[in-house]
Parts: sequence; C-alpha cells; structure tokens
Amino acid sequence: MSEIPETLRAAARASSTPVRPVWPPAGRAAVVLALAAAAAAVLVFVRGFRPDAESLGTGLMWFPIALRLAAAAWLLLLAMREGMPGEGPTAPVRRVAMLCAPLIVVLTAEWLAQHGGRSVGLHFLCLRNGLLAAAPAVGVFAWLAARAYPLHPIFAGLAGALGSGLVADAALRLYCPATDRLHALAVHGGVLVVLAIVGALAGGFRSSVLRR
Amino acid sequence: MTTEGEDPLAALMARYQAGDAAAFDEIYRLTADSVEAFLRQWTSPSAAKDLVQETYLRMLQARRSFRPELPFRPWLYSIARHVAQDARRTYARRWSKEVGVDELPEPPSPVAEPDVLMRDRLFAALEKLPPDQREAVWLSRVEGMTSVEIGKVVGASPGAVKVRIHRAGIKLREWLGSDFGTESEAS
Repeated sequence: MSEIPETLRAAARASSTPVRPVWPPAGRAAVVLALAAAAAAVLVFVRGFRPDAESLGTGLMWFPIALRLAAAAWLLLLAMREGMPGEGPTAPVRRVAMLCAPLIVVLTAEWLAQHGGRSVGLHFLCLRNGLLAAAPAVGVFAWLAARAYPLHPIFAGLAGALGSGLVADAALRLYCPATDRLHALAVHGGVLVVLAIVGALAGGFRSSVLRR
Repeated sequence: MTTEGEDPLAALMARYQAGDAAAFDEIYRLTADSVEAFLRQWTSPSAAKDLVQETYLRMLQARRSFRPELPFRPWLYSIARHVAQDARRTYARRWSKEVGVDELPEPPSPVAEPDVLMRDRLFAALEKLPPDQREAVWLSRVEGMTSVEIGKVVGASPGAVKVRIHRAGIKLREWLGSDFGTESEAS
C-alpha cells in the first residue's frame, strides 16, 4: 500500500470540484455530425442544387454523398472514442481512418470526371464556402474534444476535422456544378487539407500543453 | 475481470468526479503499487516511481473522460502506458533498460504468489520477451485482465492480444518448463 505524496494529494484536492463525465462517444459524435449536416444543408439551400443533378443520375449524385456522410460519422466516432483513454481505436484502425477521407475524395472525383461536364478549374469560392460550412462543427468538436482526454490528440484533431470537412464537402458536391478533377481535388479537396492541417496543429498544441 | 456495475474502483472514481476528494486517496492506495509495477515494464525502477506521480496527475486532468459504467483499470493503465511512452521518448537516452532481477517489479496481490525462486525465474524470463508480449502477459497474469481489457490498454484488438499471450506462453513454457503452467491466455 503506497502513501500518497503530499503534492499529489494537494493536486487531487485542487481538482476535486465536481465534474460531469463526458457523454458517450456516439452521442458526442452525433451532435457534431448533426451540426455539420445542418450547416451543409444551409449552404445547399442558399446555393441550390447543381444544375446537372438530373443528368448525373441517382447513383453518381447521391452515392458519393452517402459515402461521405458515413465516413464522416465513422471518423467523428473514432475521434470521440479517442478522447476516452482505453476506448480509442487501435493503431491499424487509425491508419485506415486517415486514408479514408482522401480516398473517398479522389475516387469520387475520378468517377465524376469520367462523366464529363463542366470544367471550373481553380475557382476558390468553394474553398471559402466549404470552410465556412465546416466551421461550426469544427468549433463544437474542438470544445468537446477539449473536455475529454485524447491520448493521441493529433489523430483526434485530424479525425474530427476530416469528419466535419467531409460533410461540408458533401454540400459542395451537391451545389457545385464542376466535374473536373482539378477543381474537385484542389478546391474541394483543399477544404479537407486546410481542416486537416488545423486539426493536426490543434492536436499537437494540445499534446504539448498536456506534457508540460 | 470487471463487469459493469461491479467495479469498486469505478465507483470510487465516480465519487471523485462528484467531488469526494477522499476517493482519490483510496484509488491511489489501491492502485499505485500495481501501476508502478506496470510502469517498470518500460523504465528503470527509479524512473517508474516518478512516472507513477505523473500518471495520477494526468488522471486528474483526464477525470472527465472516465465513464463510471466502464471498467476503471483499462482507463488508468492506458494513461499510465501513455505516460511511460511519452517519458521513453523524452528520456530514452538517459534510461538504461538493464534491470537486474533484484530491481524487477514485485507482483501485486491479484494472483497467487509463486515461490520466490519461481518468481525470479518468471520475471527474468519476462524480461526476455518482446515488449508487446511482455506487457500482455503482465496484464493478463499479474493484473488478471481479460484480453478485451488488455486490448483497451495497449491499443490492440482482443484477438491480437490473445496471439501475443499465446506466443509469449510458448516461449515461457520453453524457458521455464512445465512450471509456467498452461493457463497463459487471457479469456
């Protein structure tokens, strides 16, 4: 039986204000996902559906959206699980998770490009719109993540940012008429890249703060 | 082997979350020795003593992240493991991992104490195992955790944990003979 060191006892007394345990990971992920979806819906409502929606057909129009939403839900769930020590995903799952967002964007961009249609190129309005649509979900995610204790904060930041970003990217895909690879990868994909950088930096900052 | 609603440590942690500072003292009293022994898997004995305090300080920071319906030990040990890994990265060059039999961890109480000679042989054999197998065997045989709980601590699937324990068991049986027994796999 160990005697508790006095400094630790003092720290425990100082930290003994009542706290509420974090919600279950699925609940927290659902909150962020719902917020991201609401912001995405507002963006689509304001901009309207893409004019070539009918010619794309149900599969090409909606399958990539469903894929993005499913991947976003999974990434957000992993990010929230990461915030509870002992409940985080295993290393192989973390690696697959980091690959899934870029894979989805690249593969669906290629699919759309084969359909042909309108080339927009580097028109960066979508980048701004995507970041604006993702911002509320990213903000709430950051708040929820800060209340938890991710053992791999960089992964949690990346997964949370990419999850929120995929939902915003779904909105871009619903309204933006571009079908060219350059626009889909550089501009729509750019939303994910910017968010991933922000998420990783925030996670790295959190990690360094906890180690001090 | 913790089941939902029966974990006294989880109940203590819930009390601490509710503002009962004395519950923390009790958690420390019940777990500090085991945590220190666990930390010695990665560090020298003197460093492990320092890391115990760091583990509990981080536990205080992480107190919101524990949900009382979940088992407590995987939560605490995954924090401890992370502290040890952080420290290893920071102080890797400073620590010598040449731990003699005298410095090897004392086994905490959950399992039946083998005789001292056998214990020394077992710990010396454990030292020879690869780190991932060593910690899996330690958590299984000394801490009495299930493969699911061990998986939570080490960040691996229960299947991967069983494979590690199985492989470690083969080696330990080879080195220790039949003394090691056959119950080397976590449920």
